[in-house]
Amino acid sequence: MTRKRVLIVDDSKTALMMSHMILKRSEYDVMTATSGKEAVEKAASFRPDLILLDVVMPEMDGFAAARAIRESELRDVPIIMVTTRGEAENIERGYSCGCNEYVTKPVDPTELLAKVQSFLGVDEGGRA
Amino acid sequence: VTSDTRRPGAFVQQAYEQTREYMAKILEENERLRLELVKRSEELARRDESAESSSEHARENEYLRQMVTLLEDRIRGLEKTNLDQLSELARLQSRLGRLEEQLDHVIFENKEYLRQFRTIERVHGNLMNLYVTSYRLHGSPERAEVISAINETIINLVGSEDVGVYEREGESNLMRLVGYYGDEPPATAQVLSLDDPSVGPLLAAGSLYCSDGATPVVGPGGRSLRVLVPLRLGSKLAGAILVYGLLPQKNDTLEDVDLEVFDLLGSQAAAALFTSRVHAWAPVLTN
Repeated sequence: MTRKRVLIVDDSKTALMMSHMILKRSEYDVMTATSGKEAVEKAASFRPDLILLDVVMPEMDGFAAARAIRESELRDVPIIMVTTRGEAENIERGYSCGCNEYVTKPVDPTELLAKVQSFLGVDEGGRA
Repeated sequence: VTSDTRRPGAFVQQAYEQTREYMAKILEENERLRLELVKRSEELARRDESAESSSEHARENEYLRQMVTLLEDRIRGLEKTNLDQLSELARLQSRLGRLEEQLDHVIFENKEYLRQFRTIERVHGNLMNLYVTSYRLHGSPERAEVISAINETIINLVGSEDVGVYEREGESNLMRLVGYYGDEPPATAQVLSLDDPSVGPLLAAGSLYCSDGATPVVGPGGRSLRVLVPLRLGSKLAGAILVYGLLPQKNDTLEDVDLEVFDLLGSQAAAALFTSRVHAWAPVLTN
């Protein structure tokens, strides 16, 4: 059985560590990236089953990264936008860039895990 | 016949007349008897019909009586069945009552487990926040990394993008802005004095301050403070974190976990800043 793969993208080490700890409880295979550009590159090789994507990042922000991922072979991979910007226009922009769901910071661990599991299933261990 | 010898034909005539009268009477009697016979015949016929009808009634009555007997038996059977079913129904209702009691108990237990689960999840989340905060503060001796860790903790774990981090200059009454997140702070916000009439008393008190909105405290740069976290190094005041506002999704509400993070920052951030300062001096000291 193969573990589900999740790519976490955030320029904040604190946010990365927090999301990683939350997902570790379900034993997903996790990879991290600290910019949108790095996320697009790592997604191509890691082939994640789901992407957690921050919005405000250097080089390439989350919106641009989502568009780039949607234009690649990973057009069907669920993207959850994780953002401090909870305003409606930002959320709408995220959806228009190809995000499937959004979570606002500070992240509620239960909410984040539930939304991830809603895409990847609730099987123990995050296995396919 | 009376004899009348004076007229030879008179006797015959008289006999004839008498015979004719007699015959008329016989015919009349005959007719009466015929009518009587007809009448009796009709009566007899009626009696026969009546007898036949009675017989049919009797047969029908017998059939109906049998039917009544059958129906009575059927009713008695149904009554018995009904009683059995009522008894079964009472037994099932009793069982249903017990099952409902068990279900209520299970629902109550589930609610209790759910409440405990949520409590555990909340505590687990709080511990994760504190662990990440502590890990990040002390994860690197690099000064920029420590300041970044303080900002990131406030942004990602508390929920604010309007923060200033001040560090005290030695034993002086001045604190200098060493890190911020949000809009570029004005020049007047670069320095914070312990003698400031507004913020000074809060720093001197040395405990966490959260604005209740009623009596706003104006910080450096003329902006109202939402939170002030004095940074302590032992018993010494070594700096402060000033939070000017929370993210909209926080609804201007600080939760217990936020206060715990502030408390941890108050006791650990100064030590991390001090360590980073020592680390920066280390090459100079060793040389």
